[in-house]
Amino acid sequence: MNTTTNHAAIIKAQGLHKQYGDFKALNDVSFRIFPGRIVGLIGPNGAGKTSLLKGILGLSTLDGELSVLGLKPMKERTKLLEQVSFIADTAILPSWLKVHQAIDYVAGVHPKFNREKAQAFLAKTTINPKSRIKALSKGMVTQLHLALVMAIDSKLLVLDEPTLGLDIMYRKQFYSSLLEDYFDEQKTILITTHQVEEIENLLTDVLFIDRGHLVLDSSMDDISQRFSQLSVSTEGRQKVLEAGLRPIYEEARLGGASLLFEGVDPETLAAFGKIHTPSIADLFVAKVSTANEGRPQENQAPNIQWKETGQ
Amino acid sequence: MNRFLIQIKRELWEHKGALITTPIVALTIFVVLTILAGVAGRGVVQDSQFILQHDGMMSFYSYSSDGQQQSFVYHKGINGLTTIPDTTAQNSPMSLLPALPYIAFDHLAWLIALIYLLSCLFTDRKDKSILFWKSMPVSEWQNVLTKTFMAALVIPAIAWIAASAYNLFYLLFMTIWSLFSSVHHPDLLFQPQAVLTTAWSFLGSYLATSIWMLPFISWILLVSACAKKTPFLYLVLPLLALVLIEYTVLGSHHISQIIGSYINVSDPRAEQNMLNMSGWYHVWNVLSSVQFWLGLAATAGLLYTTVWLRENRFEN
Repeated sequence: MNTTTNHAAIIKAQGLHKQYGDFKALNDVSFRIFPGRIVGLIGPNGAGKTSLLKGILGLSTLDGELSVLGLKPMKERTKLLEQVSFIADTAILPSWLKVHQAIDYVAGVHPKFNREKAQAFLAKTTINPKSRIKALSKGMVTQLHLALVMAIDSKLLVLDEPTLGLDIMYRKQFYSSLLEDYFDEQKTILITTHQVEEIENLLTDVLFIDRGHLVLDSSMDDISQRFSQLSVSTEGRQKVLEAGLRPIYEEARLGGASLLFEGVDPETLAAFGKIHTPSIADLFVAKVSTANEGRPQENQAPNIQWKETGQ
Repeated sequence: MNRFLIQIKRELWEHKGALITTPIVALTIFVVLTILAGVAGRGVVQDSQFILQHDGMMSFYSYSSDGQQQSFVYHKGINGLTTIPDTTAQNSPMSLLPALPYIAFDHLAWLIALIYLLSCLFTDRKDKSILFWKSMPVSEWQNVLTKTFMAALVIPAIAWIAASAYNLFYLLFMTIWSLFSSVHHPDLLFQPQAVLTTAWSFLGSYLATSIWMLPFISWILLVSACAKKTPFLYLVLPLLALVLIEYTVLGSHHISQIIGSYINVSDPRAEQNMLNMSGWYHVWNVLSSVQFWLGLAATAGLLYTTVWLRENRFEN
């Protein structure tokens, strides 16, 4: 993130590369993430998100320089995981485990786990501590996983598609619990999701990644200052172009167009139509399209999940 | 220490059926069969007598309902079996009796260990739970060594406890049985020291087997961490291929002999009869063999590779 703070960055990435055969999953990715931020890592399938998260969590090697909380993730993974928690998706709690056993286990192995906090969170749900995971609904499993993770006083929480497959009620509950019961200025959340609209209001920063390239690294405050979206009629669009203003992306709308500008004074644009801050989804499409125009066609990206290729 | 104990607990939770329920069911079956045999045998045996022999051994004679004499030999422990002058006995010597549960549970334990080891580093990849375990601050070395510890010591310990429990039951049951039969010398029929001596001896024997089996344990762990599917095939096929290649190319059987020395799980040193001496002798015997130390080096290599695989390559 480009945001300047008084804190040291908890993630420092410089020139990260990851290659699977001929395919470059990450290509010269550099960024910094500071404490107390909620960062959205946004990208389509195969963009390199999971490769990047795996590297941050010490689950896979990355070329380049990567430091998380001052540690080398791959070499110091056990030490790192005392301060970092993650949820990879909603269905990875072992089905044979009972709820109270899950709490006992995490309490036994994690020095920063607060059993009372986990139990208090679970008390708000309908989950029976004696139930096996396989007897719980998908939403309940997510609640349990979140209860376990939120009871850990970790400095960094990594969430990869944490609400995938959940209905709208559980998704809302998930994010409101995350904000109310977990997040504070000392903690950082790094989150990926396809449902960008749902987390848009939570995020303080975004990282856009596409085909292994970082295409945007910005705070939300900066986005509202740097980018403007202008809704104009067809005639209005022509006037904008005649005035020499060049949108980075435009999209046809009913009876007009939506033009997205970067680094153009909003007051200048206001003379042509209605302006507003672009949504994350619109901005993502704009930035990715712009970035792709300047890049040669690359190999089709495989959808790299939480496993190595070639297996 | 707490972290190590919770890791052990986790294994017991996950593999409760194999590690706990199976020995309990086997023990229950043995107990029920013994009771049934006792009830049936009470009607058959009409009379019996003990004869104390000059060397302290004991002969137990019984007479079946048709008047035929049956004879058994019972003695105080297992150490003097070969000196028993069993000239009149027609059936198996009863001195084997306290040892039999240990032999049976030992075989059961290694069957359980095989199933446990094959699945322990495979199912978490298969059911996708590996990422949950990997999200905890537990190193793969801790994980792999815990599973080694389970197979080498915890599973045999459970088997030893089950066998000892059976012998205690047998002692009690036959004491009661003798009260309802014509045998009126329960202290002679069941000598607690024989049970204790056998238990102590097999503790050593189990330990000897455990340390002897370390290369085999680590090989199965590697297979479990490596297999994409059907770990049993990954276990057997490479070994089979090695045996066939050696036989085809060199015409020798060294590899099959080495594999055979591990498959014969009850007797780490095949040239010794386990009933001829205390099981603790086997510990010394194993420790003094070159193959054990070479096997230990192989164990280190196999465990290192297993940990490397767990750290660097996984799927879900």
